[in-house]
Amino acid sequence: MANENVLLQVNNLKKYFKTAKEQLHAVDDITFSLERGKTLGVVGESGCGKSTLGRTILNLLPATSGEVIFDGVHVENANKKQMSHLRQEMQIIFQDPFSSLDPRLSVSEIIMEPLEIYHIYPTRQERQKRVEELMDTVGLARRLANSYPHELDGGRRQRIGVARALALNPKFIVCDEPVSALDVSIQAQILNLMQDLQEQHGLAYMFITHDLSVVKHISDDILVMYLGKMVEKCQAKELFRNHLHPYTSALLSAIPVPEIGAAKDRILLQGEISSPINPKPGCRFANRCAYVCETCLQKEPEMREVVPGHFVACHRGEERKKERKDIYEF
Amino acid sequence: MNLLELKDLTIHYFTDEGVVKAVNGLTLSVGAGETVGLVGETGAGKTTTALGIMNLVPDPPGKIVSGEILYQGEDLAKKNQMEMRDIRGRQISMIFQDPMTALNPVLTVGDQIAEVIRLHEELSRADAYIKAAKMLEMVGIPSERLGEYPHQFSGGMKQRVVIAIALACSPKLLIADEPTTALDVTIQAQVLKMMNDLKQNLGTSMILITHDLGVVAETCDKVAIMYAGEIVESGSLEDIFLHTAHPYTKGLFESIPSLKKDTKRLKPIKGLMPDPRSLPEGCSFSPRCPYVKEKCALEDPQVTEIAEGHFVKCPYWRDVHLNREEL
Amino acid sequence: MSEQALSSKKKSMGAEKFHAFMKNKLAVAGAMLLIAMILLVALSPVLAPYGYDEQNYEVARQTPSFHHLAGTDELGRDIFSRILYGGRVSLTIGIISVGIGLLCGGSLGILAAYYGGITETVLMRIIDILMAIPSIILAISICAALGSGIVNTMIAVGISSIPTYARVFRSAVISEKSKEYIEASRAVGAGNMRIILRHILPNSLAPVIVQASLGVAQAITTAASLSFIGLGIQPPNPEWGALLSGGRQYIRDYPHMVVYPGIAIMLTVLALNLIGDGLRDALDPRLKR
Repeated sequence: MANENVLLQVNNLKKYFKTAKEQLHAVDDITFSLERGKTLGVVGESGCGKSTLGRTILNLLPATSGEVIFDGVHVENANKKQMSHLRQEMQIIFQDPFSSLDPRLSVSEIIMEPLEIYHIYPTRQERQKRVEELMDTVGLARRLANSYPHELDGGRRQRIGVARALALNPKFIVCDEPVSALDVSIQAQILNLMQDLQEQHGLAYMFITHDLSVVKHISDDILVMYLGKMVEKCQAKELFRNHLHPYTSALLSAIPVPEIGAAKDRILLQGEISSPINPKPGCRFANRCAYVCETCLQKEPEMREVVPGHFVACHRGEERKKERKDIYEF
Repeated sequence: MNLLELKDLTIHYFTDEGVVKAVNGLTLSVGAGETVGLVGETGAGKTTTALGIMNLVPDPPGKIVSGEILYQGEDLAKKNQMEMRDIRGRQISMIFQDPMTALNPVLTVGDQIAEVIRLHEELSRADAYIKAAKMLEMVGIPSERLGEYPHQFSGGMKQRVVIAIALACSPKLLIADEPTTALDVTIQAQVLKMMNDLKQNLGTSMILITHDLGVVAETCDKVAIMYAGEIVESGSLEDIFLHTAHPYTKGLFESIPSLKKDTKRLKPIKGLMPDPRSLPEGCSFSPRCPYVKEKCALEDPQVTEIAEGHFVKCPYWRDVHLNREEL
Repeated sequence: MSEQALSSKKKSMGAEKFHAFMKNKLAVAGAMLLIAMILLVALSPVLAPYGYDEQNYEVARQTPSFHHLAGTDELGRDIFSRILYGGRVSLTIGIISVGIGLLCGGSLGILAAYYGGITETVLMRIIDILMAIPSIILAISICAALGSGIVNTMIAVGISSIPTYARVFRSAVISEKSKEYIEASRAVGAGNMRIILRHILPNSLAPVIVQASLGVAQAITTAASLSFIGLGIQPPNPEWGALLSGGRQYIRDYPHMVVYPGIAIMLTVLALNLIGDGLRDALDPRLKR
């Protein structure tokens, strides 16, 4: 890659789960790149493989095929030594602040764990000092250092998760639905915190969520997934102004907007998401799509650059582009 | 007369760790055919209120300490479990957040709908199944699937089945506790549309418990915002969304990232929900309130009607009101 | 949760469980009974009025009296003293053999559950084979092969309890290892050993502690049965099972010779079972009020 700024390059990444008879295509042919200090939003409904994507990139799950290049290093076949180094650079924040913290460890023990593993600070005092710094950074009162996760509320617990992820000064954090389990007022606190941290530390985020309003707020680029496939990828603003894939349009129009009379002309999708087990040829969205044509059932659509910087996997992407131009005039 | 009127309802849980003040002096009314949205965050006491109406508060440790639950003029709080059993399902129904656990996995969907029907109506088994099939069609599931088991249905379908069970005996009031929270947005849109249609066709009144102001905007006629077991603001949809008057309501709106506007930073409500075992003195929102005045921490504010049907529990609502208009 | 509530009530998980346990009156009674037994037994050289092998034919087969609280046996040995001394052996066997079972069964169960796949299949099939043999028969054959004696009895009883602990550990570990915090610590670079020792082990101990407290009681009875059929502790060393066994031929005429050792076994088992139940209730979060 020529671009110096690219931190993470993912090429044709696939992750299949094998069961006795079937093959579940959880992540199927994902390609994207992420620059330093930027945020990529990954959007999709449950079962679209967005969490699996995050874990496969971090090599918490082995990839079936494809490449993940982080800062010039191939993650997918990194040896133990490389991996140990990579673990310091790439981190993850989990959705559920209840199950992602060991209930038997105190707050400071949880945040200290990565520091102990990498022996960055030789003495316990120095580690303790670093833990206190981290607690200040994420806005946890120091007196909570000896509390246990079950004594704290969801927002505070999620701050512990953020502090743990920050402990090793990573460059990249996978955020797997970090605010979905939180109340709106707390959610806003955590989102602000994450934005501040990004600015201060130059972090790159991969922000996985099903909540489109959150993803719009925080992302530079957005990747929309459906049943393991990428369906649309472009800049965040472009996606909300000029979404070309029928699934993206339906997804956007399905969001309940807190305004009176906002949802009058809603695109209602028929049917439900199937599971990506032994997928049939053709477009995976075809059975729910209002724009379906013959080609869609036979040939799987490729990601194509329909507008500069705007990729969409739909046979009728160009037609949709014209159609949308009529609506939005630009 | 309103279908349901809660007057000064107070429900506490008496636990080893102290008294949990879940619902404190809640007053709310639901008219015939009306949908009231009960909005609040985790721990605001929404679910306890719902359980209170159904007389299902787990006792011990829970207890309805005071207040009246007037359903068609009768006080449900005074009824015993036998009398309540007759009302539940037939007069008032409830649907829960998680459709996965609300259905019995070893009975067919048809059995479960028919069971409720036969519990309240004297119908033969065959007639009950015919009615069950009708109910299933009504929520948009082909009646051939009557003999299938819950695991054969997807999440959205299960929630439809739960709704079919709840509506099987044509109750006058439906309490829906976060009915779409566990569903994906596209499925949520389907279920909400169905619920809206059903409500119009059947004329059922509904209390919709949710934390999602977007869902409220789509389905409700009236809104009540709950905080720490109290209703801090209530009124019509327009009152709440266009003439926001309580600092907490305003805070909620500002916490949500907007799809329409580009905001650089969100304005979260500072601090955390108070512990219901030791609520702050005076106004329980005062420690988090940006408009807080000295008086707030001293005395509990009165509820004032600032416009017809628009009630606010904050004496400084004018400050908030002005601010909201600027937006 | 408000700030005050947090600082005023900072209890560790352990302290909270201890509190829950202390609320269970039966369990506390069991614990006190067990402590009393252990004290009595540990102080037997001081407390016992006679030596355990002190014979006195003049007072053989006496019924309980002020001089001999539990009577005497056919050789005129004081049964009360023999119960006290015998308790040392019985309780030691109980605790150590549970230790053996925990250590071996625990490691097998944890390894099987954590690594899964072929490791699990092989290990668990071996456990299944052990399980297919009734534990008492297994213990008898081990004892027969190794010979009798305190150490061999402990080994025999310990080995026969391995399958139970392996199973309990395995199911506890399986439910823990799929939790997100394990993945979280792997994401910060923790190795397998660290994950097992620091995260999985402490979190899967609850059901094992319960099983172990009941297991001590079981081990004592197994050891008693071994002695009863003459394979365990050899005379003149006293052991509760051996006492029962020695007295059984006189049961018709001198029931006190078996009743008192029997009561000792019963009280210990009762105490341990009460403690086990109490621990299970205290450690099970679903039973939290």
